[in-house]
Amino acid sequence: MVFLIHTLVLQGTKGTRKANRMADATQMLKGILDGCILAIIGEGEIYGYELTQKLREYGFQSFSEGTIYPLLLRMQKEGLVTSTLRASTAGPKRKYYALSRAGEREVEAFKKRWSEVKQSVEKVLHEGGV
Amino acid sequence: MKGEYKVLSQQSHQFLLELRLYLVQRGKKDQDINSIVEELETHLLQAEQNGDDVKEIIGKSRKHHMQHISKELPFDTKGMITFLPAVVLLLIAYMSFPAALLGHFSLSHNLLIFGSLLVILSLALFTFAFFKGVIKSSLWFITLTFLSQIVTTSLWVAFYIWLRHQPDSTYFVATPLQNVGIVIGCIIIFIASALYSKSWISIIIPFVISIIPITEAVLPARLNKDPLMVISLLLLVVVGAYLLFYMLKKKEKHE
Repeated sequence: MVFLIHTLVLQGTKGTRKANRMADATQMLKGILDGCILAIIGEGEIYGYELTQKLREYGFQSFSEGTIYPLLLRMQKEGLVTSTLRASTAGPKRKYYALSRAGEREVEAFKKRWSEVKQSVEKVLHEGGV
Repeated sequence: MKGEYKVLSQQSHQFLLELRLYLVQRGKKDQDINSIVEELETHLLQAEQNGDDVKEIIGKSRKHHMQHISKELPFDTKGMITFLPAVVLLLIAYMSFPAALLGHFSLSHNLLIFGSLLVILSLALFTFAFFKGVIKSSLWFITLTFLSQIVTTSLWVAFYIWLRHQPDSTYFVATPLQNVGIVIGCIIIFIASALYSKSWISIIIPFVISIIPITEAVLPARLNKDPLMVISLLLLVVVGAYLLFYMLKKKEKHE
């Protein structure tokens, strides 16, 4: 999956429509990142720092960690995730995120969308002889 | 035990300050800004405790990273609708305060037209210097605000001198009681603005713009008539104030 994202980003660096391609790739990566964040939250309650570590463990290396917070804020506003402040022994209170029912439905919808996209891309790459 | 926590590094602290100002400048909601900054503060603190590279969190280009966060947050239209009239009220208070403080509040066409332009110009200059300086570094911040201070102070002195030589276009002169009322009203506006913006700026600005008429009133008539002397004294006050500010900042940094 990460390879595919990198390929999409790299493909956009050539040709006269470079800027458009890059924008498309970024947009696609954004949607994928949203889905992956929700899926990780779905594994169990998690706080921001932990979430970024998990994303890195899964192979997302090329993102700035701070950018996940506006995404989490938006997801919270959209009712996809809920948050609870809890005390921590290592520092100030941490905000733990959990999936709401709407979030669970969104993860399922993302899995379905991703499966369709993955199938189509694989067909193009393999059956198309690329 | 809050006292046992590790304190954020200067680099992270500076980034959070820049981010907050950047988002305020782009009209984002206070609530959203607080939420993002608080989360990032906790994140940076933990990352530093774990020995992570802060650049991985804030991005290699801080400005690009701030733009990225800004794009994700909606523009606060409702906030701007209440914010703009409040700014206009603050501008009027800035213009009225020095004269009312000396008991000479009056309204003239010259003051209203050219004074308003000067207030807007001064604020624009200060805002530009403040945001541009703070995004770059502490030294830039001090240099730019210092330069804008010199330019605006000189402009105000020039304006008052020019105004004195213009034909009188006054159409309202406040009574002593009205002057007191205006001063109280202005102070309330400045305090409300300082509380709302959580900064001392709206207290410092009226203090700075009041220096000119107060100095004129206090100075002996012989010196008062010499514009060069007035400007020199004002610059001396401004330089002194900035040196004090710089030393306090430095002391704070060491602590």
